[in-house]
Amino acid sequence: MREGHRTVSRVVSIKRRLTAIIMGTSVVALVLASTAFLVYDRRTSRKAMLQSQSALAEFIGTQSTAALTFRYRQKAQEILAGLSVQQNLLLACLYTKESWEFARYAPAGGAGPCPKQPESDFHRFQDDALTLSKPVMLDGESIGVIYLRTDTGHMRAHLRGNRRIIWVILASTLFVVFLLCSRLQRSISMPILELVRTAKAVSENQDYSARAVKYGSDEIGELVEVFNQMLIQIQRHDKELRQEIRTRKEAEENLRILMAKLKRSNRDLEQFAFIVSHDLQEPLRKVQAFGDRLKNAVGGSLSEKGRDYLERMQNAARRMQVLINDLLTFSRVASQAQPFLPVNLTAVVREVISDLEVRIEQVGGQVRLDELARLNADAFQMRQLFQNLISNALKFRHPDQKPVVKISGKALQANGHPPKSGESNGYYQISIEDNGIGFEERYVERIFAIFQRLHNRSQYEGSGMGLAICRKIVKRHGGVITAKSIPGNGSVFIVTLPRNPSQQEERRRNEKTGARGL
Amino acid sequence: MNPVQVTRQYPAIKRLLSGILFLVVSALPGNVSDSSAEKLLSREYRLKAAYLYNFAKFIEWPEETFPNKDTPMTLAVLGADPFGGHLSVIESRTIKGRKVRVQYFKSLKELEFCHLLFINAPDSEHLARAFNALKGLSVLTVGEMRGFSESGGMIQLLKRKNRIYFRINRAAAERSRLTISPILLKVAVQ
Repeated sequence: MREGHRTVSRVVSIKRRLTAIIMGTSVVALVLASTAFLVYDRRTSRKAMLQSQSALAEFIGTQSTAALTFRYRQKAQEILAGLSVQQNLLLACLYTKESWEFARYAPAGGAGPCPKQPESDFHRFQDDALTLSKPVMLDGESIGVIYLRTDTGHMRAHLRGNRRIIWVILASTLFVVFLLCSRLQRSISMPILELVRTAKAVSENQDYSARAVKYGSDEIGELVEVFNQMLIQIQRHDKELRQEIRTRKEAEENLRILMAKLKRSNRDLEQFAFIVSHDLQEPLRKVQAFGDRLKNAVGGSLSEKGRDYLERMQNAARRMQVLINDLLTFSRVASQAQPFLPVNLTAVVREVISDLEVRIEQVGGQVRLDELARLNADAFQMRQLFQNLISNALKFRHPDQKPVVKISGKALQANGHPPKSGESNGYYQISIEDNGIGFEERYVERIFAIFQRLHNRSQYEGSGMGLAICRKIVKRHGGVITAKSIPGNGSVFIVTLPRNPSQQEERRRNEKTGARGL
Repeated sequence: MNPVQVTRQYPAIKRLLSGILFLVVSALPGNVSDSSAEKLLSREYRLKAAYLYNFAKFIEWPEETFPNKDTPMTLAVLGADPFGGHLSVIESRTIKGRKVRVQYFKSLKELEFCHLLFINAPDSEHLARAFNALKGLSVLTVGEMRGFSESGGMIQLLKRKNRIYFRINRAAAERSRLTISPILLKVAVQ
């Protein structure tokens, strides 16, 4: 709104400025012209008056030559008296060549006495009068001086009248100029105004179909045309962009729906697994308990064959117990997650090694541990992760070799380069290398899948859940687990974890999946 | 102010004397000494000589009376010279760019062409003979005899109350193809 006001006031100021420029120029031009005319008028009027009065003085002088020559004062007075027809004449004096006053004409109300010492040839506009004197010439000889003083009132009245007319013309011309100008300035300001209005409409309503009206083929018209061309281009781009956005939104929506479906089915599955395994434990315990009792109570009276059956039944129940426990563990990765806290991985792995000490001794194995970093992680799950991985390494050992497991770690940046010192971002990569039987790398995906096994149960016992749990833990931490191997030549499991997994990421994941686990 | 007032301001005699004095000084060359005691008559003719000189300035002669541009303006006296040398003083001056020459003719027999002729005839008979001799010639005739203008003279000098005036016979001048300036006519006695 404030923006709009400013735009409008700017346009108004363009109008005002145009008018001001034209008016200012006109005023200056007209005042200069008028002043020049008035100065010219004054000069020409004075010149004309001086000429007529000079001619009069010369005429009177010539008429007086005989009277002066023969010194007939009476005749000279008569000649000067003839000047009474000259209405503006204030004083006329005739002098001899010795500058003695010879005759004088002074009408009633005329100005004072004749000057004592007249200059022979001069004129002066002074005190609202023209004073002039001329020598009286006879036969190329100055025989006296004629002096006239004339009232300039008539001339001044004429000049005053002209001045008044000029000012009236000036005022009315300026008025007409103002009217014309306020009309004609529109030819410049209106296209600009129109352009501004269109631009405003476009920016406020995002209506790129609007077009500015072109009023002429001058620069402003060109501007309007370019503006419209721009609008056409913007409109086209806008249309394309909208189409693009619509397509993407649709794709995104489909993806979202799909994701939601997937998540739901995943959650259902986890829930199902948890409930099933939890509920399955109860009857299984009964089977085991009663199996034990059966064996204890009547084991001795059973035939060889019967004891074998009982043994097999109990083995199956135990295996089922392992399966159910693993399943529960798997589903608890999400449901019983702990928040990420700084974890000393070296200490965690040492604890795992100490837990597995008996087995390591049984198989005559060796676990070498390098110093590992501290990470933000779920300590319990880290323990599970390393327990599974080290157990696996010991389990799938080469029949002819004593197992050797090497655990080492190195820091990675997000782009795969070693980080600069003290950096807390990036990733940490842990390798668990063994000299076991290995596997064919084309099965690398299968080994991490739930209930998937590469080997017969009779060869290597286990539920087929270990690596699946590992992958789930690493995933929850925002990391990646993979493996490399050459069959018969050992394998390397590589765990890459972010040094600082996002808590929010983790929490969000919890809300959506784990919390409803029970 | 009108002329009456002027006369009231200045006493008549004083005015007359000063007027005459001005005229003498203005009309005659400055080297004419006035220091010696002159007779009133001498003064009168000195004035009259100046009149003759000044008349010439207001008269137009036909072109043929000046055959070339060096032809002088000739002023002459017929008969006895009453000016007593005052006229000769004018010879140093010019009229209308021409030098002035003064000539004296004792009698009609001596008479030659001149532009202005002061006729001092003893009687009207001599005067008539002179006019007869000048008939058809563009000569301005000046005289002071009684009845001079009535008998065919062009300018007659008059003396009234110690003041010199003149009367003009315009017809006579026109007959001799002389043009007298209206400015001069205006101040002449009617």
